[in-house]
Amino acid sequence: MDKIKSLIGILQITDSFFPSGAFAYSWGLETYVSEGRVKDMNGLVEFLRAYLAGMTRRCDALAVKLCIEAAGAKDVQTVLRIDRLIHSMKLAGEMREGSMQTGRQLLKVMGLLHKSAMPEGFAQAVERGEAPGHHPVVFALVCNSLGAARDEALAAYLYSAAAGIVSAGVRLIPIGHTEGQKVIEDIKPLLAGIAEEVLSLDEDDISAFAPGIEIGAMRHEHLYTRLFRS
Amino acid sequence: MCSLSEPGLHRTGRDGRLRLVFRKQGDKTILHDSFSTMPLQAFQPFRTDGAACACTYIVNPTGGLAGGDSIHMDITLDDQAHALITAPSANRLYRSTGDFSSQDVRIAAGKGAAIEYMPGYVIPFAGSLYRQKTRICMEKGAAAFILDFFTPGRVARGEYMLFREYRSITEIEYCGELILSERVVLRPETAGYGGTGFLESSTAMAAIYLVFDNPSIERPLAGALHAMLDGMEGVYGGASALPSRGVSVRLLGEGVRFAEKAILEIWSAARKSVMGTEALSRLHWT
Repeated sequence: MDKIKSLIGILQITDSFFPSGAFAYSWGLETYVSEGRVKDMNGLVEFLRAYLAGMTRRCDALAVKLCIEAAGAKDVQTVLRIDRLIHSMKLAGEMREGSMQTGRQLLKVMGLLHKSAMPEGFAQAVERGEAPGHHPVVFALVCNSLGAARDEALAAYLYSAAAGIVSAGVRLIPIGHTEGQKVIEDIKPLLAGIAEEVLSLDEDDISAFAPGIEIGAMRHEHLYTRLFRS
Repeated sequence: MCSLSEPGLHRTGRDGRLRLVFRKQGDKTILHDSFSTMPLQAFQPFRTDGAACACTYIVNPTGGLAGGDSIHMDITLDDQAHALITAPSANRLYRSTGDFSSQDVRIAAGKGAAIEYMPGYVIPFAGSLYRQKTRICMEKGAAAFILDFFTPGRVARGEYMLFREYRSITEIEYCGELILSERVVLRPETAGYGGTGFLESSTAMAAIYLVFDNPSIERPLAGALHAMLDGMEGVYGGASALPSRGVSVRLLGEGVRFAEKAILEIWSAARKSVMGTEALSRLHWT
């Protein structure tokens, strides 16, 4: 029964109906579409592969894995350290702000619903401005408080990251919802591969490399018309 | 202030050590102390923009690093000192039979000091294994302009991302707070990095980190640099304000020469805006 409860909790926080604001961000895709670098479903798949392999795998997804392990061990200092490291690595302002805003919104909503279960120290550190509160870090803490298993939380995080990009692509390119599901289907083996790889990594392995996407996110700050916040 | 590593026993020509200490003396910066072992050497400082800034070349007469080579550089700027450290050529990373070559750079900038660290671009040859770490510790009021310039190999002879592993960490601390980290691990055998989202088929990549303590000019400078990049031929780039104290710039070039031209223009504009000093007339390794 507990496993079913935690699964329902994960579905709740990854649902587009959950008010985290995550679906207001395209994470650089809007620049790619605006500049004609992504024009169709195949272009979206290429962008998504780069985003997941370059920006997510050894950075945000690894942060989820490390923070859910740290939360399980009540190691708030490790959570705070990873939050600060992730913060210092996000050099495109809108990507950094987006990750913080969605993280803080998740913390705020779940704090109202599950305050007693949130790890002591972290929410207060965010409130005092001592921790940025990035989304993968908060996601891991919330999953831990919901009793979710590490592997399931990691898979859910990766799926929601991919779904967010695809959702933005459906609206921006545009492509149909069925094509969007084809993209998700196409990307599923990569998601599974990333989840498996991340489980074997530790804090020293945190890294990121997707300069094109990062430049796209920087240039988004200066786009004349914008649908998305990043 | 960072604790600096002590030079230890070394293998001649394989374990290079370099220590430079710059000090403000009157209205100019002098090289107060220096020490080096092969394959590292530093030139006597010269001046390009009046008396304020001491410029020096760091050279490696062997032309690059072979597997197993290890170099360490400690650069200290006392309070108010201003130095520009550059190189006359690219940093070639030769094919390795199994050992990593490595470079460890530590820069400590005292109160009100300004460091411009502009190494030549890295060329990782096919089969090379390399790791580098650059750590900059800044005290209050210090400024740091740091360049990280990478090519995917000897492109002219068809080498594109054929190295075995390239690891790079850059960390910048301001008054003990980590404000910027760049952590990259590339293993081309296991992933492609040339296409969409990565290098976008470009043959040069550069990051310029401009760290300074003047919040009022961060966003205007980022906007101005973005506009400059937008009008440049052969480069695709962006600029964004850091979480605090500065601006980061990233660009991809359709060739090293396009990237160099962009770096020179960006650097010069930032120099004028942040340091109030003259534009650079050229990149010193070209």
